[in-house]
Formats: sequence, structure tokens, C-alpha cells
Amino acid sequence: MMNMISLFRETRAVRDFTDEPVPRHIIMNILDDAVWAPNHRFREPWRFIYAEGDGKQKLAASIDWKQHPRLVNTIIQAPLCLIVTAKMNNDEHIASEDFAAVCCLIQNIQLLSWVHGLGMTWNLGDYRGWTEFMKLAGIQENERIAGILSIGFFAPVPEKAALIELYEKVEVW
Amino acid sequence: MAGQRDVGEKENWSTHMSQLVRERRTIRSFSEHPLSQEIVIDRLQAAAQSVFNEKGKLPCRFVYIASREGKEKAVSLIMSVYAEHKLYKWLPSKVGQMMAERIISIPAFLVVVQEMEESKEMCERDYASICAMLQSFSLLAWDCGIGLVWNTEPYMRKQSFATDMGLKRGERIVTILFMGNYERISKGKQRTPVMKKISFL
Ligand SMILES: Cc1cc2nc3c(=O)[nH]c(=O)nc-3n(C[C@H](O)[C@H](O)[C@H](O)COP(=O)(O)O)c2cc1C
Repeated sequence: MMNMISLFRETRAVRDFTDEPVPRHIIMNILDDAVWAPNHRFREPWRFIYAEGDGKQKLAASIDWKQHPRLVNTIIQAPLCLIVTAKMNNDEHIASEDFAAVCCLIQNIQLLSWVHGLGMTWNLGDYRGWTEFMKLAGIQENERIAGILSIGFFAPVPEKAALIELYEKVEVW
Repeated sequence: MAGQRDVGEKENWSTHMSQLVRERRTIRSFSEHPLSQEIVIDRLQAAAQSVFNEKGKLPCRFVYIASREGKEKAVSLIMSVYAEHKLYKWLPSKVGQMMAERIISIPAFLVVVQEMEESKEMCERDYASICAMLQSFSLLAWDCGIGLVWNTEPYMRKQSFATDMGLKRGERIVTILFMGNYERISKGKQRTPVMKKISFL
């Protein structure tokens, strides 16, 4: 029988998507669940930019393809590009808590997408200097990108990547 | 027929996942009932399977502290880093003692340690994956009656504390999770609707 543990174990990274459009109401439902992520002092430090069709193509076109071929390819191939931002802060401790909260939220999106039969790739890099991209996406001065998510239906079910083993990495006191 | 059953299962699982994500709450007061180390570590292992780090590994390790002696040692280190850095103004020794006792009565602590890569970009990505893994772990723990709180405080980055906790060079503490079975569940604070936090291109 399937249980929660096996469901988590079964999730996979998805890089190949079908052309089938992703119904917006499904994503909105996923996001309204995902924002139940933990976040300290209820700062809800996230914001979303939802890009499909032309908007998505323009975003992709603003990226230097030679430098970032993989990112450009997934954005073009996946029917939906969802950018998730985290609030920045001069206080390094607060900034790092807020980034952590947004990562919890993105993990929720990943898990919820999977149970809806959707796959997701989480791209995260150093996007400093991407002026055109930031402008197109409307990302503000006090925000940073925590993930450029490529989302879509997948077929066939992708291979499970090699297991990450933690058993030997737990010291017991 | 088989196809139909699949769909049924899928709908079922999306309801379960949605409930789990919404119902998980941060827990700050615990039953004193000890936890099964095996269950905790199995769920940690399963959580790691649900994150995808490019390199196929998660550069982190853990210290699981659940014995009386282990918890006493960790708490005395926490109390002394507080005192050393004057993180509280002044605490009568009796209050300090009560605080220490309260923490020690929590069934288990999980110290999460990141092994730092050379490049800043890599470190960020690893940190993101570790946080994602901890969210999966929180959900899987919740699913079997275990609640937790992330504790992140500036003292965790102090060198003296790190050294006393046995960290090596190039390692840092991401958080300490305090955990145990939950008894009372506080009501969650309603989230801002996504419609107010999204723009469409
Ligand atoms: C990165 C991070 C750090 C946190 N640090 C603390 C902490 O130091 N102390 C604490 O009591 N709660 C901490 N929390 C828990 C939040 O306060 C909690 O998620 C928030 O109150 C929302 O409640 P919920 O998790 O029940 O939805 C932290 C959460 C996150 C994501």
C-alpha cells in the first residue's frame, strides 16, 4: 500500500515536459496550499511571477543563451514559468530566515505539483546583473529570486535519480 | 480498469498532501514521551529522497540529541554562549535553571549542519536544498505525530559554539530543530491569498 513515506520517496526531478497547457486554477490551488509553509514572525516573505505564452518567451529571450543553455531550454520547453522571490534584508540573519521560508514554500509547490501529476524543475543561480530579465519580470529592488520554476505535465515518468543516503550522516548524542 | 484506479488514487493523494501541507503547525510544547530514533531517521532519509540537488548529494550532516546526558551537554553549551555574548541582559540563575530544564525536557534536538562548498553560489543552492529537505521532513514527521520548531538564532553562527558542538572547519549550523510528539495544536494563522502576491506576464 502507498503511504506518505513512499509518496515522498517516489517524487522525481522532471526536466522533460509535454506541451499540454497547465490549467491556471490548478496552480492557484497549489500555491494557496503551499503558502502554509513555516515562516518566522509571519513575514510571508514571498511573491510570485506567473509567466506563460508570450510573456514567458520574452523572459527566455532576455537570457544569454550561450551562458545558460539549460535554463533557457527548460523555460522554453515547460508550459509554465513561475518565478518565486524572497524579500531581501540588510539584517543578514533575517534575510537568511526569509530565504529559508521561501525554500520551504518551493518544496511545498514541488510536492503538491507531483501529486497533481505535474513535474517541476527548480532553477537557482546567481542572477545579479540580469537587468532586462528583472525588468520584464517586475522584480523589485528589495527582492531576490529564490527559484525560477519550470512546471508542466510529464510523460513518461522520469527515472528516479540516485538515492541520497543520510543514514551515515547522523551522529547520535 | 487499472487506469481508473490510478486516477482515483491520484485524487486521493492530492487531497492528502494538501491537508498535510495546510495542517502542519510549528509545535513549541511537547509531550515528554521519548521518540523512536529509528522512525525519525527513516523519515529524514525519506525526506532527502524528495529533493533534487544537482550533484545528487546533499552536503549536510546531523547531530541527533535525545539522551539525557546529550541534551544536558547541548543545553549547557547553549546557555554558555548566551552568557558569553550577553544575548540576554541578565537572568537570575533560578530562571536560567528553569529555562535549561524546560529545554532538556523536550524529547529530541536535531542539529542540522551544512558542509560549505567553495563557491558562494553553490552554498546558496545547497542551503536551499537543505531547507527544502527540512520542509519535507517536517511534513513527514507531522504525518506520524511528531511536531517540531525550527530554531534559528544568531548564536548558532558563533565560532565558539560551533567548535563546542564538534563542527569542523567549513561547516555551519543551519538550524536546530526541537521536536517531540504533539498534544495540543494551536490554530494556524491564515495566510495572505496568493492572488494578492502574484503578477501575471
Ligand atoms: C527559517 C525559519 C526559522 C524559524 N525560527 C524560529 C525560531 O527561532 N523560534 C520559533 O519559535 N519559531 C521559529 N520558526 C517558526 C515560525 O515562527 C512559524 O513557522 C510561524 O510562526 C508560522 O507558524 P506555523 O509554522 O505553525 O504555520 C521559524 C521558521 C522558519 C521557516
